[in-house]
Amino acid sequence: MNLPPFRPILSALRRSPLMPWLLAAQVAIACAILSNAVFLLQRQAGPLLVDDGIDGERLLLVDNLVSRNGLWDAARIAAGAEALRAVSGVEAAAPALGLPMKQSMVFNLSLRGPAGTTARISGFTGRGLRQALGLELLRGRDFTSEEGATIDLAGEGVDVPSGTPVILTQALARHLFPEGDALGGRLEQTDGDRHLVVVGIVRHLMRYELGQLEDGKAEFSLLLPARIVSTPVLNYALRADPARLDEVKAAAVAALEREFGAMQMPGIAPRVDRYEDLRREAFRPRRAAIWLLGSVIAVVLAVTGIGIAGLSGYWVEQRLRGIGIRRALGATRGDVLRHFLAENFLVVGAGLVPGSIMAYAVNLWLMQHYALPRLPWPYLPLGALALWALGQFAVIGPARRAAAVPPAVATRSA
Amino acid sequence: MRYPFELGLRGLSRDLRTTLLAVVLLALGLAAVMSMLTLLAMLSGDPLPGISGRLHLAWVDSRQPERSTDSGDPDRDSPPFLWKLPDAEAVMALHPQLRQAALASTILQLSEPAGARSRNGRAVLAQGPMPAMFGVPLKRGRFWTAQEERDGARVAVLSEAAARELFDGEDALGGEVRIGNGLFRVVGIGGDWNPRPRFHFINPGESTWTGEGESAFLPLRAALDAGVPIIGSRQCDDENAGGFGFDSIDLAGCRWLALWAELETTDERDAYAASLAAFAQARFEAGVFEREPASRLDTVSEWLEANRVVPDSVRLNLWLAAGLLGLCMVNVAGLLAARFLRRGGELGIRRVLGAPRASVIAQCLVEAGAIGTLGGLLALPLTLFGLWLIRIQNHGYTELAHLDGRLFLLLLALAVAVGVLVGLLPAWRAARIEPVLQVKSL
Repeated sequence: MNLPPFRPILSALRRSPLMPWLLAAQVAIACAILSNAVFLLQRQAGPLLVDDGIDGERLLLVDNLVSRNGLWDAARIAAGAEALRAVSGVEAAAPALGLPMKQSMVFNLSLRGPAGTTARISGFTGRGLRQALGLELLRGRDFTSEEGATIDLAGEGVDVPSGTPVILTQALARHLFPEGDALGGRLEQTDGDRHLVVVGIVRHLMRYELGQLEDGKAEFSLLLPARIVSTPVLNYALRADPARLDEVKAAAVAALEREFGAMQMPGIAPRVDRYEDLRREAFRPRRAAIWLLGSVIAVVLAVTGIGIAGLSGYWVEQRLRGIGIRRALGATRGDVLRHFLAENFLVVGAGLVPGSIMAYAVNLWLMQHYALPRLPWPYLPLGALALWALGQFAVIGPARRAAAVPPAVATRSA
Repeated sequence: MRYPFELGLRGLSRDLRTTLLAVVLLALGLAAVMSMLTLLAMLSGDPLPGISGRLHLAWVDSRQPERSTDSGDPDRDSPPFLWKLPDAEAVMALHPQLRQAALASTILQLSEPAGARSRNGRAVLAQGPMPAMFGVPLKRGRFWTAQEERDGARVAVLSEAAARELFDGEDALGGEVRIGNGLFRVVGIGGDWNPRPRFHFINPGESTWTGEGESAFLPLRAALDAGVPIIGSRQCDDENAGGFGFDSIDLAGCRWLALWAELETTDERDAYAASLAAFAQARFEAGVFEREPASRLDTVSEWLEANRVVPDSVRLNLWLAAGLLGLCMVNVAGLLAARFLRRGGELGIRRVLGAPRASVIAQCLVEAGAIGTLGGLLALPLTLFGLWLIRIQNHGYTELAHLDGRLFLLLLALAVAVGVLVGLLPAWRAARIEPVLQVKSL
């Protein structure tokens, strides 16, 4: 196959510039919108694809247990856990500070790994929490019962002594220990001189700060062994028989009412929710945004395709006579077809240059006003490829019609 | 001018396929922009029309120096606004001539004295004439007086719904309700007061668009005295880690109030801002405030802006929609150019017969404007459909998305403007057709 000569194409483009200009302008705008919309879509969709590591089918979360007298003490917290364990169908119950998809009680740690990388990490703690959440321990060991810090919100708050063992997620271990093994490694607290020791690694655990799931930070979570001795808001994680989840949920509400009853803050009702419901609710805005961005992308592609096909069709129509002359002078059908494909390639390319600049300008503006990160560079060549493909696809119809023009057309007067 | 007008309109019916395509494309772009614009307009609306213009939120920085220990404060990304009660009272005392209110919004339980009926709801605890300042509609009775406030009298203003529920249809005025461990006398019944967004006390992390209105308004001192638990945003100094408990509040150690002032003129505003700055400076020099002196006086709209009450995604989507409209416009410009140039022959004849260029341009612009108008009309059902889609998302704020008459007029104006704008280039190109060349080829 021989490439069509570009010189005649260019001179033809120069002679009647309106149509190619409009076409290139369309491609430029489409390029600017598409690359940014796909980027936004990818950011919205990313966290939905992250494995949260949780055995959601079996999980119930208890929240909104607020003490009338300020704080729940250790005995109450333990009694509550016992009452929940006694509910038929419950396999495990753990008091918790930090629950997935919940932000009623949160705590963060800023840690530095041996390679100097730091991270602000969501902490999950509570005796038996790993089993209750159904997290898979990939390597290392679980906490022993004598290990741990105390969480005393009546006193010092979260007090993590030096040498406390922690369990990281795989993703966090890779981030903090980019080379070498995380197991047995030391993590420094970025303030002060305390350190933590990594004793285990779980496969996945999504953090609960749902606003910070982007940029690879979705699994910046760690488990701490801690005994919660006082807290104003009690949370429990319940692992139950998946077939009886609704029944267990109702029984758990009743058990909590029996156990805590009048000790609760009047006006606030305790909640027991299925984890799957919470997750669906928490991610609903994201799913809505994905639908919206997805439809915008589809509409932009369709509009651009229709535009290219329409303009090219008109332009072919204008040049029927010229095409006939070329055919009469010996150009094959293939030559004519290739001429139009090449022409489209050039015009789309001419639109892609300002389009890419516009895409970056829009992205810069978004970075300033909406705190979005920079558009990763692969988006531009990929976007260009997509638009080139779209252009070729859209022009095939008009080009085929042009190639079908019989040479005799040239001999007729228009 | 009538002739080109007629010609333009008649042009619509020719080559129906492209007319239709152009109308649909414009309608698509316009509907996208209008849906997003409607949502944005609804969200940026004034929460209390006629009242919020006078209200200003005051703040001085009484926080302790920043610690490297990160307590994981969920409020850390929101702009600070909380006051300690003694500080707020000191500032309020500096301006006895102004209406000011220090308030907190909390969840509490109201019950009938015997405990037979109770209702959980939100209530505003306020020092100062808050209900009058914030335009709480008074159905019957009165608000509490300054004297009652000074005396710590246990009086309350109930919302109509709360009064109906607690008193079971009987007259609530003069009756008593149990709040905390005290009995409050009902002195006033207020109508529905539920500003959207809930700007008067923004609990970080809580939606400002959802939730019921306030069920009760109580004077602050009386409420504290009756042990009403305060369940809302609070920020306590270090030595008061016990501030985690909701049952009690350390008045000297915790910040938990918002201070609002009613300021009519810019002079008043400037004077108030200056006195805030002076207060912060004096406290800092006295060693009470540990951070560099800082103060702020925000209007309601500034405060909403600072809290990003209108979600970023709504603005972002408006820009996306605008981009889509731009793309559709370029596309339609191409379609129109093709339509007009195809008719080069007849435009040429008009020119040869003496029509001026302006007349050809007018003809083309009328056709383009008509296509824009049709696009706008088609955009109306599409916009309604888009708003319905937004409403069923139910993000809390989305239920506000309704098209009103003003926005509909805007849509039509936008449609005509877009049509004409889109027609400009093709019309100019069509008017440049050389009549002689066209006529020769006939």
